[in-house]
Amino acid sequence: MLKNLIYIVALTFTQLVSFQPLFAQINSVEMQVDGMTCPFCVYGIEKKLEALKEVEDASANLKTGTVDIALNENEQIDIERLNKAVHESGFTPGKMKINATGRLTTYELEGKENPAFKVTGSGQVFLLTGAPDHGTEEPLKQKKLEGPKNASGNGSDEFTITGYIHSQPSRVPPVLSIESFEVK
Amino acid sequence: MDKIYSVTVSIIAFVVLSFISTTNALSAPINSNVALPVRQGGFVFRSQVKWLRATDDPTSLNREVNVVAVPNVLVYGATPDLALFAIFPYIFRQVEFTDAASEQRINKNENGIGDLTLLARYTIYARDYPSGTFRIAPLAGIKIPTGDDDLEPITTDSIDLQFGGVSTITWDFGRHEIDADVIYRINTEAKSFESGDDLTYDLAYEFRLYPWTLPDVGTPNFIYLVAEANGIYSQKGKLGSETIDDSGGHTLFLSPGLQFATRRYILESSIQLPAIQDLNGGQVKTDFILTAGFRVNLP
Repeated sequence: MLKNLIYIVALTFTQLVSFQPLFAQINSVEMQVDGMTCPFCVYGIEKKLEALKEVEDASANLKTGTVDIALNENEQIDIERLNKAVHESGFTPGKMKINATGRLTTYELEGKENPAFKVTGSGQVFLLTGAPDHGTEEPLKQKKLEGPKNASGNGSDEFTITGYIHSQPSRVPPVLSIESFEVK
Repeated sequence: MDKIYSVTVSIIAFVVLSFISTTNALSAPINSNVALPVRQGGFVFRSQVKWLRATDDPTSLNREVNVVAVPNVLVYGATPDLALFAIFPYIFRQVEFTDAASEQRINKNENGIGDLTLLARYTIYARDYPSGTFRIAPLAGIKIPTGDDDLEPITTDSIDLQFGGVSTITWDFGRHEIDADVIYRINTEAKSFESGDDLTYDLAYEFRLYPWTLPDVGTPNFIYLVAEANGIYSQKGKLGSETIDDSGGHTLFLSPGLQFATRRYILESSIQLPAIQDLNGGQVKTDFILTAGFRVNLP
């Protein structure tokens, strides 16, 4: 009896400490795809994207020339894989816009600490624009970057950020240029 | 009589073959080719029913010809730029004419599998932009004599080559599309018969009639109005060393059509009406070609 009780308590504890959020906090991905102008063409793009393990659903919007991509739970965005899928469907990938929830953090690159954004759930890290050596130095984007920095204080607050992501050399996180943000 | 009979159907063969050896697996044109891509690893299947009727015979044979061709096309996207086509038609042919000796009307019916055509199309230039695309793709193919001998000379025992190019431009988010292609066919001799070489040319314009304005979200089904010009120049054929005077010429069809396009399939119909029929010798003239068909994106 005691043995069973210990077993149940241990199991419960294990479940608690291994708890992960049930959903990825990349809320949406909007990918520009150039060249798609008919429903019959769109099918190939959606099928190619949906064949990726991280993609749950892909739905094209002809008016905006974009594809809305829903990721599976806790999956990360691999820009190169998404671009390759669009290329293989015969069309041209463009800008990629995401809306994601997470926390500010830092990422060490070449001995320097760079501001970064860590997505809740998947743990994916994006370098934020304005970081030295990575991203633009435009004043507006710098200002936008300062917003979440100040609001976050010690970085424990959770944000929802909308912005464009850009791929980087391998083993370097993609860059996220902030378009807008809000504190959750 | 055999020779006359052959000549009777020769020009019909050219016309039909010119329109079943088509690579329009994707959007809009119905009787022309298109340069839009097929996804890598993906298949598209297309089938059409084409009814050709020719009754205007300048000779005392008073020939009436009906050909129903069912060109089936399987397309495979080998790479984003390279699409491979296999075209395997089924053909019904009915010819009625007056026998000069007996003055009786003779009716001949045949049906069977047509010759297989294999084509490769490679996109050498693609310029995609948010509201459209512009593409150029050369193509080359070979016709293999797999068809039923009863259908000669629609089918032939020759191995024929073809090469050409197709270009497509779309703009205003699919509101407009123009396709143009030119294909030259080198028809070789077999069993002492040789169809003359031919050159087909097509120009197609498609206008998205519905939806008039695209919704903010999603991809609706489209209805296109299609207007095409489909032409063919054919050289005279040869029987042995003798040129067949009653063969070859120039035909141009004007072809209005309608198309309903969804993500998975396209339904389409058109009628091809001859605007120019400058045929050599005493050949029967085409009244119309009526087409109905579908294409489907295979999973």
